[in-house]
Amino acid sequence: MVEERIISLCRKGKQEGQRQLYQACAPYVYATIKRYIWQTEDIKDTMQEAFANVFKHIKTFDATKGTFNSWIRKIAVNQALMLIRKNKQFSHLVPLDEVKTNTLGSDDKYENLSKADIEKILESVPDGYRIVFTLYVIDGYDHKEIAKLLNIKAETSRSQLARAKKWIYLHLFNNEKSKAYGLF
Amino acid sequence: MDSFDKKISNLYDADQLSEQLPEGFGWEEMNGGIYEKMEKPKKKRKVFFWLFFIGSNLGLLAALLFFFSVKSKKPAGPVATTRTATVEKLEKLNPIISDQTPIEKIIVPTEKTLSNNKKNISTFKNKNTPTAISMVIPAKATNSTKTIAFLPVTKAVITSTKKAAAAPVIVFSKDIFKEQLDPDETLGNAQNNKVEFAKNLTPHIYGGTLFTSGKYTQNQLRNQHSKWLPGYYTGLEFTVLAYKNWQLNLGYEHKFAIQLFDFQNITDTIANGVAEVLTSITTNSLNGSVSEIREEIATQAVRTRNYLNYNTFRSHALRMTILRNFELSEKLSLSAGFGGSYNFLNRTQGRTIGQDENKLDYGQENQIYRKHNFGLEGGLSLAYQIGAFSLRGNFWIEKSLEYSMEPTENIRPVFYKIGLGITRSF
Repeated sequence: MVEERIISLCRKGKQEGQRQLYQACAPYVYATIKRYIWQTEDIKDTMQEAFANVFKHIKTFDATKGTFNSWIRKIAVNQALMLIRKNKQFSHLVPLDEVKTNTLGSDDKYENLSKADIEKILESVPDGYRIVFTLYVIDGYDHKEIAKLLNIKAETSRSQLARAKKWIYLHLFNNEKSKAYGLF
Repeated sequence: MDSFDKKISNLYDADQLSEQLPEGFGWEEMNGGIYEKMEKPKKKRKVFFWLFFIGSNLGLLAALLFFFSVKSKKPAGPVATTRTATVEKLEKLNPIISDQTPIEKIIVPTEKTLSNNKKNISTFKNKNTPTAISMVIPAKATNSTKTIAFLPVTKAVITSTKKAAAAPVIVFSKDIFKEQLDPDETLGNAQNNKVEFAKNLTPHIYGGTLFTSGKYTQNQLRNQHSKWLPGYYTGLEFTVLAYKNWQLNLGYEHKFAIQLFDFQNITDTIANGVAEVLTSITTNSLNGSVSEIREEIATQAVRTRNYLNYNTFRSHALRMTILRNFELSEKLSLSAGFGGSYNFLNRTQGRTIGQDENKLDYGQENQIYRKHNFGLEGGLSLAYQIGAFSLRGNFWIEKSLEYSMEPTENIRPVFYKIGLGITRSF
């Protein structure tokens, strides 16, 4: 939790407050952005954009509407998606010939899953699926919000999520009955 | 959210607060970039928007100002007002109508407004021809004179009154002034002949063949099998300003085109499962034991797609163009021009033909084209006049600008109005 004192300093534009806010929130923001972008330089750039926006708009933060962490996370996610759009990386309909395959170790029950396992699988998931999956499952957006963020239909978001899960099940649990959806 | 989702969510929630920053992400390394981005000027795209917005408004304002300034001069023409008043006044006194008697050229000295403006009016009459009247108007700059001749349809009145005792006064009937001596076309124009507001906002209806290009940046494979079919454009525009051979037109335009995604026997590879495969067997020759090594590999299948998807693209646009016309012959003319447009309500509607289950379900809520965009256009047009119609050979290109609030991967079509067109002017 970020102290109210630090937020107050930032609202006044004090550099010391901004430094303290950065130090308190940077790991969290970094972790959020890293879920969408993997290149170090891009993460760095996106973090700078995100914090620039946080400092510029901190006066609009309303503590009655949610926690500071959820506010700053939204900014970070938006910034990451903007970069993805800018680099034209986002594709919610990825041709299958671009899809990488990956295999997992011997884990066969997700109760024993670790974050590293999930991240390993997510690396192989096509961008479009991964982004919807991350937004919904990890960052807690609902389909309407995702649809708005990605300029797609809510139904598309649902189907992307279902396909992403199929993909992950398939690679995690080696379920022969699972079949990959046609992606195009 | 199912149990799998919750498991992953919990994993991340528990872990994200303990995330460590890697090297190079400390405040000292990052603050320069943050402050630089805070001071970054606003994006260029806003410049385009405001340029277009201000330009359009200035154009409209100029058109309106000109319209009202010209209109306000019509009833205030000093010659027309004075003369009409004189006619009414004199007719009441004792009008003498004479269009039979030949007359000589007469100088009109008494009309105050005429003498102030240094305009001389003379009339000529011949027994066998209708009455001819001419006006000699001194040009200010050159000291030369300009004669405007015209023929009155009805009657000229030559009279003298007791009140205008000294010299004869030429009086024209009302009909002459209404039908023949339009002050805006004679004296009015002599004074205000720089730019004229086009009469009654001359409308033109036009249309022609349209070719389109535009790539879907999200997906290269789809682009390879995409092609645009010829479409059409049609519109209504008004000439609001005219100066010599220049025209400023404002109007509305509709465009229609079809984009095909033609997948005929397109094959690609898809992942369809993971299998455990025996990759090696080692036998121990001493004790006879056998060890196997199995690996999990992803299995793939080749898929063939065979379907046709077509999207209709429809747009509506507000357009402003500036044209320069070159008359090549009596019926043939060339016009060159440029302009800008605001395209709005761009609509997509996708249809799929075939048995593939994965339709490209593009629609109004799932666009692949920009819904709104600004365009810049320019080109040439060769016109052949046939009655009120002009048949055109066009070479006109419209390029969409980058400015948009929408995802950048959406298609920004380029329009080519190349080929035949037709215009009907009223």
